[in-house]
Amino acid sequence: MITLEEGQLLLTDEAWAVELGGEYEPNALVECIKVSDPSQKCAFYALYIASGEFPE
Amino acid sequence: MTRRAAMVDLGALSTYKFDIDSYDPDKLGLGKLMIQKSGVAPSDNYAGPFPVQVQRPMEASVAVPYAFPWAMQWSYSASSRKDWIFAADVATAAVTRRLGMWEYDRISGVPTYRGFLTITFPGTSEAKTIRGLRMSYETYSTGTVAVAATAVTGTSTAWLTNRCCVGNRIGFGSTDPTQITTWYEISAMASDTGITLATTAGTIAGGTPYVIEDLRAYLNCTSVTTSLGGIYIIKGLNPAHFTAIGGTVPAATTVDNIKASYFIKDAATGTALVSFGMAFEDKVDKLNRNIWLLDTLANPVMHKHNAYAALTLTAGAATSSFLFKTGAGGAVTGTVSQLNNGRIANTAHGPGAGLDCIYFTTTTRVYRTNAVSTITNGATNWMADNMTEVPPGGVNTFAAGSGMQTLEYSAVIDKFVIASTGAAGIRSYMTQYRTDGGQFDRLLFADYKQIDQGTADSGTTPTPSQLAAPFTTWIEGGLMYAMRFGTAANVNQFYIVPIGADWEYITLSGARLVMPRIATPDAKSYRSAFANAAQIIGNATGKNLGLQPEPFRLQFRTAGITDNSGGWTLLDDTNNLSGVAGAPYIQFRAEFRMGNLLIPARILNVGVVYDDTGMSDHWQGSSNIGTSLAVKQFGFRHAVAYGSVVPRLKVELFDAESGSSLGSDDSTTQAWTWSKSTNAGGAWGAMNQTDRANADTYIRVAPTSLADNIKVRAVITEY
Repeated sequence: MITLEEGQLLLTDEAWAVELGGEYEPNALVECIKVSDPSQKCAFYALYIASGEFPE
Repeated sequence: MTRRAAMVDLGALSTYKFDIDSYDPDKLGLGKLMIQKSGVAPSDNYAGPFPVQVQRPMEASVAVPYAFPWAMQWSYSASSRKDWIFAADVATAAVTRRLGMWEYDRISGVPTYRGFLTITFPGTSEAKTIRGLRMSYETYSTGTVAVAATAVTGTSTAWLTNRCCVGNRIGFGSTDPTQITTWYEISAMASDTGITLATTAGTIAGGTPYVIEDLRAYLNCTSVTTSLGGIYIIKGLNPAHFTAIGGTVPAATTVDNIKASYFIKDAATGTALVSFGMAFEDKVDKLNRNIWLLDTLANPVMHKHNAYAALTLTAGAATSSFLFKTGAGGAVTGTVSQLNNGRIANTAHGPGAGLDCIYFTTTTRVYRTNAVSTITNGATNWMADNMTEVPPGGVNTFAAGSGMQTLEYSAVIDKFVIASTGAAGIRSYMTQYRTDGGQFDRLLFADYKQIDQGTADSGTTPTPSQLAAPFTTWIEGGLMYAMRFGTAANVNQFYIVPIGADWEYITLSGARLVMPRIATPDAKSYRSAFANAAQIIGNATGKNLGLQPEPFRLQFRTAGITDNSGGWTLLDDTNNLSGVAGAPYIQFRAEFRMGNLLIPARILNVGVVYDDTGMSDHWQGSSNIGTSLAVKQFGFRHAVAYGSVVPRLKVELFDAESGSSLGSDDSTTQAWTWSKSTNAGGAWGAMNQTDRANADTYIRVAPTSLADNIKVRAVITEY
């Protein structure tokens, strides 16, 4: 499990921040918001948010 | 007369490009797919089709096995001729997939790998397999802009309305992308008139033209959960996203038109369970472009989507692009391939001529649909006809291998490329589409077994050998981008081959060299042409790993050179020009074959051998005896005996400045006045055929009339 905090920036791309903190499986898609434009939302893998790596 | 030769060396000539520059008889004309190269070694100076290039994706710093190429000509001008090529990751199925990008420079003939990006898909995290790839590229440049740092304000713009995407790039100062020197990524798009840039562009005054490049990818995927199979659109791309370490595309959630991956499907639970290809129509406008998904292997159905539709999203997926689904079109013969299958083609031949039809292949047949405009919701009659595999020469010449795997259509040459598995000697083809049971046009790829890895012996030269691996291909502007479908370093090469340069397709491709004219002063008649070319590319000794290039052929003309109006005559293998009258210039052009190892010829030089209008070796011009300016007569000394009777002689007078003929006569006709002396002009008698009597033997010839005040060159030859 990977713990992500609300507002946590992506390790490899600080333009995006975690919208909802919590415990996630590494391959869970976690919604993120664009820091400079919160109307933009997309999803990254929890593992990628925390480490920059992709799940297998 | 004297036998002379004249030639021109290639490699460092001034050039012009057929479809870009004006014709120039004194320069080397480069048709499409042609290049001139120079180098240190003499054989490095040549002209011909683009040399074959090979890329090795599995040997990059981040190894990715790519296939399913898609290419476009991004620029084609005097200063920039670049293709963009994209390809899909075909590694063992995984939750993310990668997309690679290359640039190919048609001026230098060199490809460059820009890099890759990794795509995260919406929906359940599970392994996906890419079955097909298409891209779309649109520009939007309506209206004008003003820029203040990262804020772009548009006038008469409609960016949101036209579904430009965050992540795309924008350039200022021109509506032509090839004129843009600095690009900026769009980081937000608040309205039809408001864009935010990722980095400042400084201050740009209002009224400035601009251009946005809307680049998208369309991945046909199958997924572990089959209902998650179908089309995934990757929006908001630009070339800067493709890097050596890998860019990233996240999954979409609820926001459309940003850099993200989107799943489009036909229903809440998608029914494209086992899709095998796509076919992309030309766009209608910026908001409408149909894409067809081919699904279900044994009895196909097709899903029709509007690829440019606005997406109403739930967890990154939408059904708002879905237009309709056909019924099953009928059982197909053979096994449908899932290697980037399906193409829209509007052929100039065959039963689908002039129609936008979808073509797809099974292992044994190629199928054609009815015109896509006529295919309706639920229809089951959309498959029109099919073509059976009949190799060139018939099945007793080459076996019908039943291994057809991939299909591509080239409008430039109006042919289909059908690549096979390559197993057990199964051949691939380049052919028209026909339904009469006739033979395919020609074979493609020779299985030389050379694998072209990066550490291969330096004495080799790349050749797209078939191996036991199918090629997936895309042909753009006559260049074939061919990627082996394999996941290991020894079977995943990417070749760039000027396939359209074949002389059989010349009327469509225009791929030839036009040599600069060669001056042939005083030419009376031509004897032969010659052209030297590289015989072996690579090592020609030792282990002999070099390979022989493909053939070429020459054509010539001696008239209409200045204004490019003259017709051309094809030379056979003898290059014999006997019987061709002399002219001030001769010009050659070269055409090329691309049918075996696909290693194009490299022409080093071309020339001509001709007989001039100079004096017979038996006679010398006489400046005193027999020659008289006053009475306009010309004397000749008989310098060398014939050893027999003097043959019929011809005297021709030329304007010494222009080289043009002023008239001629011969010793039999004697329309002019001919005389002979055997005592150095002491006495002149009638012309006869008696051989040289002594060193004082002369003849003189007086033309019937001759203009005053001109410089004349008098020439005597055997008739």
